[in-house]
Amino acid sequence: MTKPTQDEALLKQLEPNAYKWGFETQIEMDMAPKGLNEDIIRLISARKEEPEWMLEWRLKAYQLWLTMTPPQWAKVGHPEIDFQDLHYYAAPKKKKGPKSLDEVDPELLRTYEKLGIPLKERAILAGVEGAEEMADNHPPVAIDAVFDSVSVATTFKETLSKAGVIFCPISEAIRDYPELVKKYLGSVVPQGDNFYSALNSAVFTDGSFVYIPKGVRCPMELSTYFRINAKNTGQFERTLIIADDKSTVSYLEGCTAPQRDENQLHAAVVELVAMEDAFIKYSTVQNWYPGDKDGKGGIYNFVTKRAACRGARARVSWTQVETGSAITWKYPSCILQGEGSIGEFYSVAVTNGHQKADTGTKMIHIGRNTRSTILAKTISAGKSDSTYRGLVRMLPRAKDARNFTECDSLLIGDQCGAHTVPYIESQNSSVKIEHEATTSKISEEQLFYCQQRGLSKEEAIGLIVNGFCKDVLKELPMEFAVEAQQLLQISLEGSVG
Amino acid sequence: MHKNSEGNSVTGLASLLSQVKGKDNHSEQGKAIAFLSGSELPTRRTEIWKYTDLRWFNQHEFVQSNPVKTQQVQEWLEKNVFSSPALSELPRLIMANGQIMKEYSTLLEYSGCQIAIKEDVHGSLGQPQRDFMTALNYAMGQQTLQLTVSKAQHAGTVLFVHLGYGQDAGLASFHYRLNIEIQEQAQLSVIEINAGSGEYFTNPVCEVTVGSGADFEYNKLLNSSLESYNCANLYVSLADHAKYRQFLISKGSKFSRQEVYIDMNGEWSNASFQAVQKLGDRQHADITTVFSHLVPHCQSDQNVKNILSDQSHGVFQGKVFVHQKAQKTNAQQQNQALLLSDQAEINTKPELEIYADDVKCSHGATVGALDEDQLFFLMARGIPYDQARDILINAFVAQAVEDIDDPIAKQLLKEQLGVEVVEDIT
Amino acid sequence: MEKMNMILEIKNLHASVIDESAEDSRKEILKGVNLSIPAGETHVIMGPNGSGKSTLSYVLSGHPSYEVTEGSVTFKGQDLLAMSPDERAAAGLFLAFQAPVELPGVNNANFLRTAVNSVRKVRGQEELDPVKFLKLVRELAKKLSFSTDMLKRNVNVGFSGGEKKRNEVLQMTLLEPSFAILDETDSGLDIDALRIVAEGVKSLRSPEFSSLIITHHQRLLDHIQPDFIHVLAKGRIIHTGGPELSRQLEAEGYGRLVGEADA
Repeated sequence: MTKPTQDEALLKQLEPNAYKWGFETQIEMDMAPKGLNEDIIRLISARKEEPEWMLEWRLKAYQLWLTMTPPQWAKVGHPEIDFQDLHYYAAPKKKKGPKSLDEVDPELLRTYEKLGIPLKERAILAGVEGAEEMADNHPPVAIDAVFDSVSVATTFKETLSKAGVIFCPISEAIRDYPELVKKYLGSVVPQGDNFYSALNSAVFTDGSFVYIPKGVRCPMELSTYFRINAKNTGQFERTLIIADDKSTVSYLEGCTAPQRDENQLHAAVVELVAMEDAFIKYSTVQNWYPGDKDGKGGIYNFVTKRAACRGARARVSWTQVETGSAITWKYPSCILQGEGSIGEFYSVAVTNGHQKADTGTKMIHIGRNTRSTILAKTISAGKSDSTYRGLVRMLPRAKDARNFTECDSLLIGDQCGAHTVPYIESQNSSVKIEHEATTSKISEEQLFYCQQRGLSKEEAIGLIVNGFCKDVLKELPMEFAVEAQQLLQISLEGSVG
Repeated sequence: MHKNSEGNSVTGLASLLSQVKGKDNHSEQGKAIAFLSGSELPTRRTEIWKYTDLRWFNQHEFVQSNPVKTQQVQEWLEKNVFSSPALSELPRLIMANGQIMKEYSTLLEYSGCQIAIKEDVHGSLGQPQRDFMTALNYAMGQQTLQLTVSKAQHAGTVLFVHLGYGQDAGLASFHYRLNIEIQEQAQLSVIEINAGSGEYFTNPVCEVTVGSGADFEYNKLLNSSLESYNCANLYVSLADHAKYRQFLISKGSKFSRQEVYIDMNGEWSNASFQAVQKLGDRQHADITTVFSHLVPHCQSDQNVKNILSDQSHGVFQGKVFVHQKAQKTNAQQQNQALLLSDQAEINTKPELEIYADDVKCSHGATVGALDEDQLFFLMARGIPYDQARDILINAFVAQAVEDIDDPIAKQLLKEQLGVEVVEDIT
Repeated sequence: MEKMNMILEIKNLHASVIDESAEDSRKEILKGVNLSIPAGETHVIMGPNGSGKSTLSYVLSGHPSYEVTEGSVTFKGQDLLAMSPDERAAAGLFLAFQAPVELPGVNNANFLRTAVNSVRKVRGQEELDPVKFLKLVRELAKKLSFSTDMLKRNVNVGFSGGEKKRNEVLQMTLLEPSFAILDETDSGLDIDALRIVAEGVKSLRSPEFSSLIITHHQRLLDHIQPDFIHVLAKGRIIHTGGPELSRQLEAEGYGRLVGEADA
């Protein structure tokens, strides 16, 4: 497939008011009553048929949460959230957990089909023209689909289990692999780590669990697709990925929500554990509903994502394309414990309308010779604000550790803001840290050149923005890279006069 | 020692405020006292105090200072000023323990500027309701020294000396206030030396307004006693086409924090800030800046270098703020740290907060040891390791003072940095 | 062969580059180099990219990123490998860097004088005062078409490629080495600059001075007639010949020699 046709395909998507994932699925739901207390947690635990130890774990988190207050420090004000006015459990009604895809409610399958995530065991490529040709050259993707509070389907489970890979909803893992879950759950993000991780630990409903055994290269991309559908619900998913010694896995995460006037809360926790010589690549295309052009509605995306590089030479690579949500707080981090371990963070954050994004990373260098790379691209348009906030910390034992950080911001229009807040801390004289940041706008010359060659202003901006983000987009798996490019175009829709 | 009604000794803020009990509540001072009475000492949970711990503040009992011994001042001046023909010629303002030493202050008769001493603390740029140390200055200060350079007047270079002397019991504190007004097209260059002995606390506030097309250079040497605590807040407002340059060498003090707030209020104004923190032992030094671009076409430039030995701790927090209206801003910020010991620590937070799109803003930060390839290159040319290391350290700091206009200031700051004064042998 | 006065003797030299960030942090580059250079001779090393030519020059001058794992190097009867880089320089070994580093804030003239006086001190020579030094450096600079402006600037900062190389040759001349390694000093030079560099090298020629020239091109060798040409490939010297070898290599490449060595 050649580049121009890709671009043409992208440009075709340019239509006004383009949050095309904003529809609502009409399906009968099993909802817990609004509010949060120990009984609700017991109810969630009972619905999930959880063992007693899991309930205890949740209740401990709840007790911690009660002692905490919501964080105020990030550069994003929002009205106070009434945590008693939310549903903490919402699931499509069903008789019993579906044994196979054939038993999944057809309405749900249609929903995912509409979202471009066909839950069929064939080459699955997210809504891209020309997907069929590409499918021949690309391995299939296994998908776990999470609808509000529960996982509705997981594909390719059998193929994966042949390789020894466990990929299932976390609720299932709690029942089927309790020893693994007990050992690792909360080991990277403890229950009391922060306000939202405590909340998540108390009420999380579903999410994905991945275990890659020693020496195994996961035979296909793993993917989870999160969908918030029900009104007044919070989505609190929990993902736990463990890559044992010398194993490799690439995991993708996508998310959307219907268009609604009120704000909805999404407070996920993702924990990654990479052992000796293991490599985890975690990619996100975050496209929660951002609210309308006046800033009404949209998702509050308050997420804790953290990876522990436990073994020597372990490597974790976070790649994210953040285009959605009314407010995003998200700092996918790496704790670099193992000698020579590597943390990477590649990010594109686009804000438009009244969106606010405060995102970045933390690289905590503990072991000798640890390395980290941060590449953050921030694009602000409309009346939005986008902040890169990142920490690089070199502890005394991190001898010869290195960090390189580059943050670039692009402003489109004079009503928006772009901010860079790096925290650099070193207690070690043998380390080397380099940080660079720039802020600029699309130059008149670039625009004029493109327009002179016949592109509309919007097309030209799309091209230039894609170029600006190229170094990050190329870190995404092929299938996501194309989707991400489309999203960039659509997110910046209407940002130029 | 002071005791409160329960018989416990009074320390920290309470011991300071007890010194100014019963002051008029309608003055600026009264407002500041009221603000402080309802405030807590900032902690590291406060974002702008994230890297600097004020716990020492509450561990001391603040006391009124003893009268200054003129003999001490005389000796210091002889050694450090009168011995230098260049420095001794400058009009000078000598302050000791926060008091103006009139007998030594030739600036009071200097025709290049007007001096007024007011028996209250006032100002227009500082934010006593927001900043703890500024509020403390309003609450504790007794007078304001107002220096004015009239329109189109070129006042040349003047010397400010602030001496502090500790005493046996308790911590004496000095909260002097300097307001400088440089009217349009005028010029002033200041050399400021902070020095002293023993344990004391200084907390000056300085406000500078630089008028249209005026030029101000501020060369500051913080060489206070290694037992002393020093906070300083500087507020600068620039009118159109105003030019501001500051060079700051911070090497004295057990604890120091320099806050610099620059508001570019007039178009085409230009602010430059070059600083070196050269620390050893267990020194803690913090430079916190906020450069606010409030109108179009202004330019700012910040370069802060830290050279840290032993168990010293360097902090730089620098913010560039660009207002929505401030199109065509050009702002650059660079922070470099050289760690010469494994126990030294650097924390830096170079921050950009930008609301205008047609701007050029960048910042960079590097932390590390000396460059191995440079060391090897010098050694491969026959220069032994220790000397090669000195050459590189020297080069690292020398750049910071290279651009000082005032030759006397340049010479002084170079000497103080231990920069080998390289004669141009060509 | 009669016993000659050897200035440099390399025996079975194995060396690795240290890269802590790589999984394999010690990568062997030199795999048993043997080379002897008598006093007064000019030797040339040619070879494909990645064969270890620059590594050899760094190992001989003592760069900390390289580790000698086996073998010995004797320089004028002394154990070269036991010496620090500055001791090697004082003993008379000079490396003209392929990519000289920049030293921001370090004045070139002062740097040159410091270097000259450092080696003079070790050699028991009188240190030069600024006046004498300046006289000397001005004369040399003139010969090298080196503008005095370059003396005032910081070492290599903002220098063009040609200026950096001339600065290297200036340093070489000033430090009066008995053995110089020129690591691709000719690359990227125009014809005039090349001639100046060649003149610089030739001016040092004497029965006591030897050099090792690393190059890819015949053109520098047209100016400086070498005594021997060695081909370095895969970390070993696989072939040695007379001056005619370089023309032959330029015509037919390294393929055949490397192939023969592999067989």
